[in-house]
Amino acid sequence: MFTYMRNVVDSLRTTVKGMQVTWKNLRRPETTVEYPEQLVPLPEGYRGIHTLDTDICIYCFQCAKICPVDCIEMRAERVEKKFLSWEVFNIDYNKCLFCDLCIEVCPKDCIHMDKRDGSAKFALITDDRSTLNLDILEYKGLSEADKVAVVKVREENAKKAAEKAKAAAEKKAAADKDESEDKKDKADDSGK
Amino acid sequence: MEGFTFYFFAALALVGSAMVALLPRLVHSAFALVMALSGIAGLYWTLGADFLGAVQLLVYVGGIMILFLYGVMLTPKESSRWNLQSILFPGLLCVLPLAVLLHLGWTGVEAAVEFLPTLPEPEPTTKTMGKWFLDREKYLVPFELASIVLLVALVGSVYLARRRKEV
Amino acid sequence: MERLVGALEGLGESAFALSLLMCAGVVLGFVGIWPLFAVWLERKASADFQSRLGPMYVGGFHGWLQTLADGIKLAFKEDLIPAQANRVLFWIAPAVAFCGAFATMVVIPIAQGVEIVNLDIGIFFILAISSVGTIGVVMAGWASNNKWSLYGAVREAAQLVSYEIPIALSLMIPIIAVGNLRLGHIVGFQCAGPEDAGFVYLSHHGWLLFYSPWTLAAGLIYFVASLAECKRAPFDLPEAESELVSGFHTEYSGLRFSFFFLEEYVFMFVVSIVGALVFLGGWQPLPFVSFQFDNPLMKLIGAGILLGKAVFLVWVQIWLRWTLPRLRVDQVMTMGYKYLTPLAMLTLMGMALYQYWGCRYIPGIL
Repeated sequence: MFTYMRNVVDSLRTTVKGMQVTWKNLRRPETTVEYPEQLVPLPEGYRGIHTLDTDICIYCFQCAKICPVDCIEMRAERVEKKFLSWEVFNIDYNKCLFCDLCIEVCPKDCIHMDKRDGSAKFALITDDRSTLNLDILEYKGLSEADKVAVVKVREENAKKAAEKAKAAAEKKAAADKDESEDKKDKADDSGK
Repeated sequence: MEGFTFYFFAALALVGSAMVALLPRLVHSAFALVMALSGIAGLYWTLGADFLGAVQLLVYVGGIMILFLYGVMLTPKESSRWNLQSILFPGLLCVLPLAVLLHLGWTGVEAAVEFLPTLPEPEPTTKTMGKWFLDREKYLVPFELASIVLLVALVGSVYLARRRKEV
Repeated sequence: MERLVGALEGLGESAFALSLLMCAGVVLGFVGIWPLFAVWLERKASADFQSRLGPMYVGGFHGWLQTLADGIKLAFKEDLIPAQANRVLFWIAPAVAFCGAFATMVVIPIAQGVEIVNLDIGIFFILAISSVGTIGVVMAGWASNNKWSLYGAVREAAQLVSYEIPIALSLMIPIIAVGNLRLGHIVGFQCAGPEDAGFVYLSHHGWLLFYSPWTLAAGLIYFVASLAECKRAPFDLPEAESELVSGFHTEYSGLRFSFFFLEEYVFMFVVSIVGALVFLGGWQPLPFVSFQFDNPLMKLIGAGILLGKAVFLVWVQIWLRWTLPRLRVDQVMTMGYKYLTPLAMLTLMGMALYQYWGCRYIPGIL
């Protein structure tokens, strides 16, 4: 009889306890991210599609040399026998193993595959493998929205850099002015 | 309308019973019995015995027939076929009430009403039944006796189903 | 409206038949639409309990048309009948199973005085008709000629016959207090007030769940037994998918399968709305405070409240489903025969004595 009553009480108690557990889960926010509509929050060091900052690049070919799978195809042309200009910079994502070596080896830190340019892509979905050979110079393969985002981030970066440069230039100009005035003074002095 | 419901349920009951008697497979007969019993429940309803009809459904269709089917389903399949000798007598028995029903249907509802006792306006039976079952001058003793019979059946089934000690 | 009624009266019996057809249409429409909502609710609720999102795409707002899309998909699937199956029984079994859940809707009042038939045996009729659905399931299990189906059907038969006893006994307890089987009267008892009551008044009895300790126990027993009656987890043995593939409807596909699906969800609604009507005061929003639900607008609001309660109970069923693991067969039988039935009988006796001695739970509100 005692066991019987205890069973009744136990069944009620454990059920209520279980329902409390599920209630807690109900209150927890959903972990699902609706991927194509919402982007998955990517970690800082996420390795996605490469972007190349052609303004800083010094055409040293280090990245292509160190690539363990030879997935970077790059060719530059000397223009007017003075400076180099890009002809081809393709990365074949059929081969690329996202090892990060090209980024580490870059002496000017101009090739990235993290999200700082807003270009980190979560997935490369295609039904044609040839489309995976991407022209990095034209952001080919990125979706329109991604391209816009990349351009935007680049513009912002450029703006910041320009401001910085402008500030530096002003500073320099001011310094130069002082200097020239000094020189002038000196010249005047010497003239006297 | 009442004519239609009566004929519908009567047909259900009679055709169901005929199928119980005539179908070769045991399981088919059991399912046909469900049909017949439901038809009878419907007939109770057309006669104004609402409580009895519901009891018929609950006890026979929902309870006893389930146990029937339970037993029948678990028996091995027997390969019986149509066989004139085995269905002759039940078939003849079925023809008679079906003929009566068809005759009634043919001659119309008025003839059917002559057959049946004139019914009072159907009124709820539950309260009256409850009162009569607990009325010492009406049906208290049969009611209690029936419950004792059920109790005995219950105890008996528990006795049969109990786990026997190894000798 | 009156002209319409007059025209109907002029038509006589054919008008009666027409009104019957209309009522059947209303019930059929509800029975068709409700599972669309219930399945969506189940999927969303189960997703919530598992920190998922559930269906999100079809129809825009939280995938509310997902079930309709699934239903259309089911309707266009091939209707397979196994070669060794018993064709006739296989064919009619879903209909038989469905009519058990379908016919119960007839006596359910959706608001004060709004019901299709006001049967004197109301609640008893629901119990009786719903037991017919079991036959359909047994028929399906046997006709499929499949081991899993047969096991599922046998389990279903055993389970439903066992749990009909506690469910009937637990529904008898409020009836002892009310003294009437009509569902409308049961709700009327719960909102009975003084003669000259205004729009808001204290009811004599309050919700039957809180009427006495016995009715509270009866409400719990009813809820547990009703879970078993509509084959919901943790009593979903007839279709235990990890043991029996999917039980009695293993061999069914397409529209026939969807009939079993509809039956399950409609029956969930039926047990929930009966629970709401009998124990939770029907269309009265508060336990001891009642409102007058006499004009059409209030009736509409009352119907909304009643449906809300029913949906809430369905949601609790879903909650339990995603909480508890499935019971074993012998545990289900033990629960039915050793626990629920004796407890229900005890409660019944307690309630009878309680009513005989004229006790009241809350003396202040006599």
